Amino acid sequence: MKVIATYNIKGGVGKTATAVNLARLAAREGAPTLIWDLDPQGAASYYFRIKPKIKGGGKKLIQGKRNLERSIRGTDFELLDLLPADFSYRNMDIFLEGTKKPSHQLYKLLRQFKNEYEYVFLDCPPSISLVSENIFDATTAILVPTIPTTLSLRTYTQILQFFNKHDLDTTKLLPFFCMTDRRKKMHRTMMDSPAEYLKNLMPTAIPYDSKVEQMGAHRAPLVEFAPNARAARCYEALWNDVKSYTSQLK
Amino acid sequence: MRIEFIVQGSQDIEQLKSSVQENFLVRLEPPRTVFRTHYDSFDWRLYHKESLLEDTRDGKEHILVWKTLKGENYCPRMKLREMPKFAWDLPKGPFRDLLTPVLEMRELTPKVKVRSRIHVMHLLNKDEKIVSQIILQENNLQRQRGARSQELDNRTTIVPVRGYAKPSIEVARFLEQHGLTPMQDDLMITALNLIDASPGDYSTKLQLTLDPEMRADRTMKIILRRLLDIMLTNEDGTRSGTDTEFLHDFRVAIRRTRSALSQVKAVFPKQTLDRYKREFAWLGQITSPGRDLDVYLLNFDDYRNNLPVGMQPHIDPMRDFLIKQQAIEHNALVKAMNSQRYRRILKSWSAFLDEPVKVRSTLRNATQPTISVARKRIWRIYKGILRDGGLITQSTPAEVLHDLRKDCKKLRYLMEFFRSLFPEKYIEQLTRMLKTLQTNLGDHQDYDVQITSINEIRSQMQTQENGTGETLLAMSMLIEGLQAKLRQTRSEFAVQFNTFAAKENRKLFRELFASTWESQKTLQ
Ligand SMILES: Nc1ncnc2c1ncn2[C@@H]1O[C@H](COP(=O)(O)OP(=O)(O)OP(=O)(O)O)[C@@H](O)[C@H]1O
Ligand SMILES: [Mg+2]
Repeated sequence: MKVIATYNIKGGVGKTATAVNLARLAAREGAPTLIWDLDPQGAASYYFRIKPKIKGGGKKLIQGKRNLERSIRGTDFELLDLLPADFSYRNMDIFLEGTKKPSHQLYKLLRQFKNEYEYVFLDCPPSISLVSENIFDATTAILVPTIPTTLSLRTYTQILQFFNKHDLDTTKLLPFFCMTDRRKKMHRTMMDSPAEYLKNLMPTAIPYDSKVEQMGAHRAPLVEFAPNARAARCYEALWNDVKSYTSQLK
Repeated sequence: MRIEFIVQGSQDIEQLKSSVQENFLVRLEPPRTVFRTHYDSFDWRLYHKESLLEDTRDGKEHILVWKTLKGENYCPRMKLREMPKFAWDLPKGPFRDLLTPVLEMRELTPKVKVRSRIHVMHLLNKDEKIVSQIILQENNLQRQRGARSQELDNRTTIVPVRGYAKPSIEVARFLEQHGLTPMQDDLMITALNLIDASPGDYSTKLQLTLDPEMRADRTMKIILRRLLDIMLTNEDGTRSGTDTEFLHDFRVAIRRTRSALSQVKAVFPKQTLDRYKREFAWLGQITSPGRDLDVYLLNFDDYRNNLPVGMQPHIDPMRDFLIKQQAIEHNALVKAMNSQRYRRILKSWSAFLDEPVKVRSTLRNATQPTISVARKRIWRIYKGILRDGGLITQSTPAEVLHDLRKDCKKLRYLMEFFRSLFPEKYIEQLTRMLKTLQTNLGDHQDYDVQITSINEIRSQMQTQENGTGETLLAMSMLIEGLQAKLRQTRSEFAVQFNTFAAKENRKLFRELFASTWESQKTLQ
């Protein structure tokens, strides 16, 4: 089982769009896949037409007192399941603090699915906190959507700093450029000679494509309703990048 | 959870479809034809775990579902471009991890084939999310195994979407009200019955219920006939050579036959006996090199993983070498199996076994009751094992242990041949004890043989300039590893033997096999 998070402390950079589309692609290829919508806003759940609600609330679920399995919902797509968001996830930190090994808890919860799913995607909310430490601990790889602007790159260096400070494995961090627009000079510069600290920069970038925004209206992954859209094709290429990178990891 | 219904012959699929549509919010897929095949190993390993593997070929895709016969919640699923032959052909992942320990080295073979015209209806909720699937199937048995193509039950299956049980229950209730009958049996099992295949029907166990008072020569013919049948069942698979276990089972039947011929004395005329002893020895010979190579290849991953990571790739030329040798040996075996000698033996052996025994016989054991012959023979071998094993010390040469292993095997075969004559509970207990000792002796022998053969292979590769220095070094390391294991098993022998020879077991052996028929009845 490979656990892949989409993560950034910055909001609105394409984390959910990436998680939703890559998860769909993984399942389409035949791999049993789960996507866990960890964001209390429930955007990923919304895209799959699933109520962002956990029966009995998120607390019991996170503390392992309620069977995680019972909260899983099948999506409209074969081999793809979703663990919905819940509004109570905004108190995730507090829930995790209530467990024995707070920074280990997500890993512990996910381990029960190791025979069932080949990929688990974690769609993360934008914040650095205990949740994030859990993410680092539980994941095989962390995809970091990054817009090619000075400000976004600064955010990336902050994530790197956090990693180094906590002595976390930076080879897990997989940044990739997204919402790119080659008409913008700054985008071009940043993409053509990427900063040195973007160590595992994925070769594929996801261009800005207004079709992505239509996911809200279609309530389906882009790769499903517009498989030939530019961004959809790039998600496919990105998924191949991610697969080949993670297959090298043990 | 899966709910399945039979659609009675009088019920029209189109009508059923429209009445579902009138009562539920559904999205209809255009009907299409899929091909469903039930897969299992030749020896029904999945069926023995109360499951079956169903492959649905849908266009260019294969959907593989590992169903339980009880219809449980979660079934491992997998989508593939090509149907795998062995567990190791599957892509790495949970499906393969789950299947491997059950299927091991056996090939997946098609058991029955069904063609289904399917009408898929997606049941939607108010968010237009799919919450259940209703699949109407018009099923046909495909032409196969001498059975003609014919209609099968039409069925309706409700496949609930995970986390949404209620809507499926509502549809199920609706269908029941419309006169559909819930159905427990999997369609594939129904189909198997139609082609007269009985799932789980292969076993290398003798499964004979013998009559203790029957004359020994007749009983022996029954046992040997069963062994011949096992051989014949594995003949085709042995010739084709993809799945190694056919040859294995084929060989075991030969070995058991040889053991029966030499162990149960004075039941068949000497001339006959000598002929078949010789011929079965030949069969043992021609099947032996192929099996050895199979074993090395099946063990190869273990060999490789036990080397230091850096050395692992260097051993790979040995695998290539083994594969080449295996092809050579397999061809030689097939040639032998096509020879007149081979055909002649099987034919005359079969005729001999089917021929009724002569009323009178001058042979010492021929007309004796089976039970007394069996007990005498088992008791004798057992006493020999106790005596010889008790003399073994750390400095005893390996050959002595090998001989002891052979005797244990003889004992084991005899106990298997005649097991139905003795109280099951006790014979099972003693077999278990014996098995543990056999494992120790078997490992000891295997390591010893492997060390010798890998040494030989190593020098063969060296003379044929087939291996680089690294490869030869890796092979030496492999041999060292095996030597360590050999020493380990040898050091464990004493404990294993003492358990086997413990007082309670000795007492049980004596009661079962040494004392009179009467005393045995008190055991029951
Ligand atoms: N490549 C793209 N081109 C155009 N629009 C995009 C692209 N990727 C994402 N968007 C749009 O940008 C918005 C934010 O994207 P998304 O929700 O995926 O980001 P996020 O990082 O998950 O946000 P949040 O931090 O709120 O969870 C959405 O409206 C989405 O449709
Ligand atoms: Mg989001």
